[in-house]
Order: sequence, then C-alpha cells, then structure tokens
Amino acid sequence: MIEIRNLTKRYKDLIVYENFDFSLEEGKITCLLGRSGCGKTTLMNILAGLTDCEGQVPELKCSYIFQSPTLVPSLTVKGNLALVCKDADRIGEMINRIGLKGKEKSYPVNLSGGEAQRVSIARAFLAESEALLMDEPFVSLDIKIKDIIMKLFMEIWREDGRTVFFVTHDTDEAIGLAHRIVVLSEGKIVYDETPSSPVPRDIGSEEKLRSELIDALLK
Amino acid sequence: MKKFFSSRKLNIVYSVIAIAFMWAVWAIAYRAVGNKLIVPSYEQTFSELWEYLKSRVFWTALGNTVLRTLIAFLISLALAGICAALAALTNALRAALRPIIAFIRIIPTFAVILIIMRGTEANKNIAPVIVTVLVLFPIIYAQIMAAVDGIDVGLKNLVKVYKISKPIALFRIYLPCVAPSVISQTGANISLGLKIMVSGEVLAFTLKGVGGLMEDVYLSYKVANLAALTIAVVAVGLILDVLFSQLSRITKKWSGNK
Repeated sequence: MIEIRNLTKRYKDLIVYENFDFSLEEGKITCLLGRSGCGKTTLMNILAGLTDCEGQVPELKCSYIFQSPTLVPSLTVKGNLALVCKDADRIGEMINRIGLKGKEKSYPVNLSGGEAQRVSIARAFLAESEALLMDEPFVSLDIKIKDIIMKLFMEIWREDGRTVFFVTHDTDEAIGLAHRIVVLSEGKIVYDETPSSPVPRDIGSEEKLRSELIDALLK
Repeated sequence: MKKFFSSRKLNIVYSVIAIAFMWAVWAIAYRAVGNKLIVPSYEQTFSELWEYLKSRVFWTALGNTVLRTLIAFLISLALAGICAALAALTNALRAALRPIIAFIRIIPTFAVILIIMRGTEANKNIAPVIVTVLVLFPIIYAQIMAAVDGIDVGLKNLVKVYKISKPIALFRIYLPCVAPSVISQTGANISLGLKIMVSGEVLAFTLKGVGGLMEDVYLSYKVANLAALTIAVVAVGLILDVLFSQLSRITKKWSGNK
C-alpha cells in the first residue's frame, strides 16, 4: 500500500486538505473522482513531488500523464521517449505498440492530439516508476479517440501491472478504467469503493455504481 | 500557394509605396530647405554613393564595421546567455543580476567612449565594440529571460517528475525552447548593433570604419557623402536583418505552430 497520512495543504487562507488520509493499493488502478476545484490535481501534484505540503507523504518515483501530452517540441517521438528510457529496443517495441511505427522521427507539431497522447502514455510506461499518475489524461480528446486510447492504455497496463492513480471528473472514464473509485468533495472523501472491483465490471453493477457516484458527486 | 504569392506580391507593393513616400519626403525637404549643405539632392547623393561603391577604402571600412558589429553581437549573446543561465538557476542570482543589468542598460555611451578613448589608436577600434556590447547585451539578456519565463510549465514539471538530469534538461529541453525566440530576433539585434557601431565609430573617430568615414566627410562639409554613407549603412543593415532572419527557419520545426 502507498499511504498518505495527516496531509494538510493550504494556499494562503484556503485550506484544500486538513489531516487527510488516503491510500493506494499496489498493482491496481485507483481513481479520484470529483468536480472541478475539489483538490484532485493538488493531491496528484503532491504525490508527484510538484507541490509541497505538511504530513506524511511517501517519496515516490513516479510516471505522469498530464492533461495535455507535454511532449518536448524539439525532440522527435523517439527522442521524447529516450528522455526516460535508454533501451532502444524497448522504445521501438513501445512505438509499435502504440501504433506509431513510421512516425518515430516525427516532431510533436506533426502529431494529432491522439497520437501525442499515445506518446505520453508510452513515455509513462517506459519510465521506471513505482506509480503512474494521470491527471485527466483523456479530457482533451474527442470521444472516438478517447475510447481507442483508453483501450490502448488498459492493454499496456494489463501487461505492466503498475500502480496507477488517476483523477477525473468523468464517471465513465472512472468506471471504465478503475478498480477502485473514490469521490472527493471539498478536500474530503465522500465515497470510497472498497474492496476494489474487477475491470471491466458487469453491466448491472456498472449502472448501480454510476448512480452511486453521481449521488456522491452531487452531495 | 496562390494566396501566399498574392500576399507576397502585396507586401512588395507596400514596400515600394513606403520607399516612394520616403523619397518624396526627401525631395520636398530638399526643395523646402533649399540648402545643399543641410539637405543634399538625391542625384548628388547617389552619385557619391556610386563613387563609394567603386572605392576600396569604402569596402575596407564597411567590412571592418560589419566585422566589429558581428564580434560585438557574439560577445553580447555569449554574456547574455551565461547571465540568463545563472539567473534561471536561482531567484537570488536573478535578483543580484538585476541592478547590474540595469546599470549597463542606463550607462551613457558617450561617457564610456570618452573613458576608453583616453589612450591609443587601438582604443578607437575597441571603444565602438564595447559600446555596442553595452547596448546589445541588456537587450539580448531581456529577450532570453522572456523566452525562459515563457517555457511551458508542463515541461518544467516533466523534468521534475521524470527526474531528467540537469545537462539533458538544459541542452535538450530548455535551450531548444528558448532558441527559436532568441534566433528570430538575431537579424533585428544585428542591424541595431550596426546602427550603434556606426554611432560609436563616429564618436570614437574610428578611421577604418564607416563611422570614421562619416566623421571625416562631416568635418569637410560633404553632406552628400554623409547621406551616401548613411544610405549604404541602412542598406547593409537591411541585408543583415534579412539574412539573419532566415536563421529562424532552422528552428521552425521546433515551434508549436504547424
């Protein structure tokens, strides 16, 4: 388990978290669901070491899939992946895996949004890390591309089995990817799906879960 | 493609109109003032310019001035690059550099020339270079710092999260991010440098330079020659501006625009 204890985070007078406890089950996908401004990205950034805080937060070696692909514009697809992985064979395999064979030497400016996000996913899995963090990684994609990339993500994850923690405000994304869904509101957990469920869930339990999540979000 | 050519043709038309306008202002001023020692005629000016173009002294002077300008630009770029790299490392260094850069930006160039000139003939060649560096360095430093501040926060976070080493982050991520913006301004910086260099040469009376030639003809009341030399400097400045602006093509593929 990756555990956070007594986390307190303030932005001047605004208290985002106060004595907040949270844990991630290793080798599973945990989703933090919440409305805009509830502190989801702050928690993600704290885990990634991008934001300071008070409390016990483990120092994790992380991979991160940002909202936008965040590729280095002066490096090719291969060059971007080589920033986090020195093994050329692994990079080549991963490029094939994400369906970008033939685009190894393309610069980010010549990639579509979906292709760029595939590279971002590939980079996250190529980097050696204890946890993979994702901050609304599919938010900028259109619905068709989003579905393809979510499937691609799950395919790679099933082989990799890394601990994944992601935040979103989209219940369908949460249900489609996560073993455990936690709903956050004003810095407090208002819903926690424990024990974690298998993915994909069966249709009946998916509908029940969706309705519970919407209720929790509207609280 | 068709649109590109039509807009390019239009730009040429606008440029020709602007040149014709300046020509008309000159002709009107010449008629209005009616004194060849203040405003020379363009026939006389271009006749002197033609004479200069045939003269070896002119080409040597022009070559020296352009060479000094390029040296001054490279020194300014190197100094600004080093200072910007230091300023980007910590806020403390950035704050420490601020008054130094401000002092260099404000220091009167004429005072610098007078101080440097208290010496030998060699200083007449060096003084304009130092003055040009003093003008260009703070400008290029500000341009680099603006580009550094404009680096995508996402890329900075990427470097932190993936713990990318400092040399790789500097040379493979940050420098290529800053380079397009700085390189795109090289042409303008060099033509500004040429302008300052000629002023510096005039003040320092640098004999083997366009500024020195200007000072010489000015003292001999050869106003048409002065105008001819000015036109030559403007033309060289424009050529350098256009030539060095082409450098930005190298970094075009790195920019975020398709």
